[in-house]
Amino acid sequence: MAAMNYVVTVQRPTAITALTTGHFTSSTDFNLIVAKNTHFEIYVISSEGLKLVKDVCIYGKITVLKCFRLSNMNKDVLFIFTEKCHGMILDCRKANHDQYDILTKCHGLLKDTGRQPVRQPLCTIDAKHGLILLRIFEGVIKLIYIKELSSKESSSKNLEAYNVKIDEQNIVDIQFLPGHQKPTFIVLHPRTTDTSTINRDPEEYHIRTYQVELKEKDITKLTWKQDMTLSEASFLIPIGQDIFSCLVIGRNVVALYKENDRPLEIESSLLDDEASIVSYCPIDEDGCRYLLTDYFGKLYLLVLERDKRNGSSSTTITDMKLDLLGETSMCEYITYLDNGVTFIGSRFGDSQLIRLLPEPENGSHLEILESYTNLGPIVDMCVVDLERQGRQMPWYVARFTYAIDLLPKRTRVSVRLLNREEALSVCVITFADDLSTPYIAIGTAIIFEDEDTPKIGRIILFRYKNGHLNMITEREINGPPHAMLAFQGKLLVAVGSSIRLYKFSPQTHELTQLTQYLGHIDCLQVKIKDDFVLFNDLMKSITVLRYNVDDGKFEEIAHDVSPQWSTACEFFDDDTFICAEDGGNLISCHKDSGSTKENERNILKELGLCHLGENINVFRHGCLVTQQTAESTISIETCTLMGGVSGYIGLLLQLTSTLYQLLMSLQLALAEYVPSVGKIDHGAWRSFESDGRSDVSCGFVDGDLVETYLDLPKSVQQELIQDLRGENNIPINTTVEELVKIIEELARIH
Amino acid sequence: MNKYRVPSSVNLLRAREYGLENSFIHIEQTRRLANFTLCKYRNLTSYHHSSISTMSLEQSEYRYLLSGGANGHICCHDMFPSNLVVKHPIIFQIDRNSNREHHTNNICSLLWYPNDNGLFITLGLDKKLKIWDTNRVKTADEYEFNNFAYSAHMSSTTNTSIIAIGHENGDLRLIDIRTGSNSHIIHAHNKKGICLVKWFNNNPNLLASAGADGQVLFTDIRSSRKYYMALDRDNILTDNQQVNSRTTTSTSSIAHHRGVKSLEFLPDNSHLLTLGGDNHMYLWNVNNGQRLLVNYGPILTDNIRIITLACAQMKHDRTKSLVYVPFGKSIRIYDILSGERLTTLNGHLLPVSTCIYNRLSIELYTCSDDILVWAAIKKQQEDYELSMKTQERRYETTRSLGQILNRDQWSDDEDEV
Repeated sequence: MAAMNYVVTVQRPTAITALTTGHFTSSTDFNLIVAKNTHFEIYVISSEGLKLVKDVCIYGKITVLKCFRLSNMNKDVLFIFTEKCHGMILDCRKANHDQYDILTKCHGLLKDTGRQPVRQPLCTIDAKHGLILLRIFEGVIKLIYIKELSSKESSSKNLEAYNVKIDEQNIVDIQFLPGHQKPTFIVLHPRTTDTSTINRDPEEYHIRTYQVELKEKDITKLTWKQDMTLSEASFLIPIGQDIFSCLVIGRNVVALYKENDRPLEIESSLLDDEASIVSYCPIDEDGCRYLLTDYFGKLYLLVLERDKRNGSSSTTITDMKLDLLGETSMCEYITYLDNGVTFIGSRFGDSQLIRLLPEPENGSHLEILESYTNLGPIVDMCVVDLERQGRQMPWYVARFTYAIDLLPKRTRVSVRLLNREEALSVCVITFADDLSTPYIAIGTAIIFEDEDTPKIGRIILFRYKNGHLNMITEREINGPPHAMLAFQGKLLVAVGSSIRLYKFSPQTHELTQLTQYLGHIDCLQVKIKDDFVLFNDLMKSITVLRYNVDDGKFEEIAHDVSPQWSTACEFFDDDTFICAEDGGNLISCHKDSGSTKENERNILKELGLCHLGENINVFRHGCLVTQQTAESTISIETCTLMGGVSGYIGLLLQLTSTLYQLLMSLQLALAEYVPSVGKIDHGAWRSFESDGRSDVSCGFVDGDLVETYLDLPKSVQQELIQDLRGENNIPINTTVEELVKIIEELARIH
Repeated sequence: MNKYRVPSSVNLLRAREYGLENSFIHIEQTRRLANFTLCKYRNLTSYHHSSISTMSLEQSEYRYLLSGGANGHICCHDMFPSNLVVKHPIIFQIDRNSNREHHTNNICSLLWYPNDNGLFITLGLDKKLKIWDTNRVKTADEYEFNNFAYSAHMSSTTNTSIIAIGHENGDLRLIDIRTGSNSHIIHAHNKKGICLVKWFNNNPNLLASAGADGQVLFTDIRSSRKYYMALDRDNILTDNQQVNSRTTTSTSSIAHHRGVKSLEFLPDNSHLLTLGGDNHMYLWNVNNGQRLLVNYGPILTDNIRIITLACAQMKHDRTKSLVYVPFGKSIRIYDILSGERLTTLNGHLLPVSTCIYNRLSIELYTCSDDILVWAAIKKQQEDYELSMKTQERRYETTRSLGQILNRDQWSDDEDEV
């Protein structure tokens, strides 16, 4: 028994996770670079708009993406930092025919042990001094020295990084102040949280200034500091050259601080009390105008007015003005391109290219030029067969004004819920005692923010007849109904930590609970296959039950004893189950039905582990192709699709043992041969990593890597299969033709 | 207690689904930390007949729990699966009947080898330190001393091989298990003896030791000095100018008026908790040796010689730090940084010696003469009890006419489930 899975990307992540601009592809090109979780796209900006010139995959989740230029260079380079703490500096060269090569100039693993901060890593770059500053763990900042990059050498150097202690905890933002003799940076952090000051007002923030002693590889405190009372200070914007001055942006206030000067604050009525500012970008080089966006997608213009009396060179700012420009997608990343054109990058909605208008049109100062589709976050999905072309579409269960398109005629019905009552789950069901009528069950819970878990909720049942939906009955439950399914003509509901089975009697119009199984903490998702029920728990991985029809009871068949913080689960076959975990890992669990020992039979073994780098919300059986050629070597019966937060859609497939051995040995050969951007080791990227546990990847063939075999020149293809070895180092004999045929088949199914 | 309040679980789950919550696990852990309740239906296969003096949880899978008794017996339980109703089996036992190499006297220290669970180390009052091969349950190495040793500890950083041992005569002994050398002795403490030794969490060269005279010393094993810092209870960190803080490191400085019973570094690597026979628990900054002014109130430690505290600290927010302190027959939970007592866990019938927090399963193991498990499963347990009751009732009244005639009445009963 072994885990033999194939995992491949169907749709790369579409949610934007970082943005930068610069002259990356050449000194004359102006580029927009957009990171989407595990890959980044390079666009050339021209008068015609944005042109995608390259899409680069990274063995990691991009958390920092910044273009910068050292003083001795004529074009920009790119700094990338990933979730597994790999850092790299990349360069781009234009080859012939509009082809672009990405070169790794420097790379390195910047991982330390330490306490993770709540926030994402912070990064700021001082290009003049060739210094990158990273804050990955609490109490420590990392200084990366960048030396010569312009050399023509093709080999990549190791990043030269030093750790320096810093007293400030829970740092919100770090920025270099430009133009100083020595590299100087400012730190924004909330009040100290040592015991003596524990009960002070939580809205106090401090700014501290430091100078980097390049030679000593240390930092020294400078005198300028500022204490402030702001609501949710979130950004620092340095102002001016060679002075100590910065803007601080809070939830509903923008404040300007300067050494030896009174602070200047604006509390505009435009800024919403509810919505905090989530991103900003400068418009001009001199830093007079900024664009701000808030949580609701409102776009503001901030203008700093300078003192005109002392000539144009004055840096004294006398006033600030804030104007509302209009509304865009809710965006956390914004960058001003040129000629009033601005790119809006969103994690939750479509990204947009907008033009700022000098005069308002229809009450808005902006015009949307183009939209870029984002599928994420995929919360649920189903596979719909449209004209024999498999096609998945994500749909959501978020509000409860719920359109039901599953029935022959389009029906719209809305039901008013109680105050604080929210719909958590829904299912369409025909009951065993009334097979002719479809019903719709809705599970709700009454949610109080100060209650750990809802204590009351209900199941509401609707009947669909003659184009009308009628509420038939409701039933109170004592926990949140996380999931619902039709199961053997009965209603299966995951209520809190239990799995319950209800039957419906059309005569009395009542839902009656038949049996229940008590699980662990919270049953999140439930899946069924024949008599079997699979569910995943908030923190106790997955469990398989069997419904014993004779007794009318659930019996536990097996469960995974590791405490996994699971997010989704699915059946592969009768003995194999797949589970996605909070840290972006996949686990395949196996049941050993044949074992003679009872304690082995009822324990699921975690035989497959793999880091996907995607937070999976949903698994669904289904395939994107329906037809297979007759001489096909792969079976698509176990084909499973998965959808993630970032808009990622992936495909899982079970392989036969021989095929798995073959592809796995090829994967190992390819991992060594295919150059990885940033020199990240393929094994390090796919290794299982969660809070408190790390393990090497096993049982999953990385289809994204294996399918690159098709693009290699024939001679390389031949060379790679010279010495393939399977289990126990047994040589595998194959031909390029055979391999290409198999991989082409695999590539065809997604 | 409000500090450990977190958003409703349903809202949190939804936020995770939409990619709005990166600290999901931390928040769910925080919710549970201060809400422990006795797991009434989880039992460990009983083994110890005497009081249990110490326990140790292995740190690679957070799965196997070693416990050592006052009579020198040792046993290992498998703490998986952490189901509501479960009996945890014994994996192996070391005693007179099962193993010729057993200890004959009270077990002082049990240590799992930090890097993998294939090795563990035991120290007994029979003046023997044994290194065991877990898979074969056989000693791989053994050291015998002339003096009693009360405490042994091994650094949890990777690539360490040095065990520190505190002797009754004040000697601090270092054993390198790679080379087998056991001759390195630091005469740090006076003749009253060492009660406890503990390596720093993040530095394989720094060691804290606590004496029967109430002294707590920090030693750098690379240095020729006996110690580089002595904790002084009068060296106080305060904003108040009227309280004069002393910063001497004279030999007279003591951390507690009586012998030290517990020494526990916080996961943030910058704080240390000490508990003394003077019934005080103190919090220290390990970087400057200052005592933080936190008042936990008197903590009675009478019957127990060495107490193991369990600290739980949220990785992303160190202000959320809890300590589980044995307090007679109960366990008290304090917020470390404010000193606020959050709750008390009752369930043992004899004084408790050791608390161990399992941060993967989010549960607490405590021992007196038996081992109990605590977790945040109050509601699940109530649900279970209710379902058992309903089942009983069902058996009792199977034949009742009421049920046969009126089935709905039954479903009403189940409503409560």
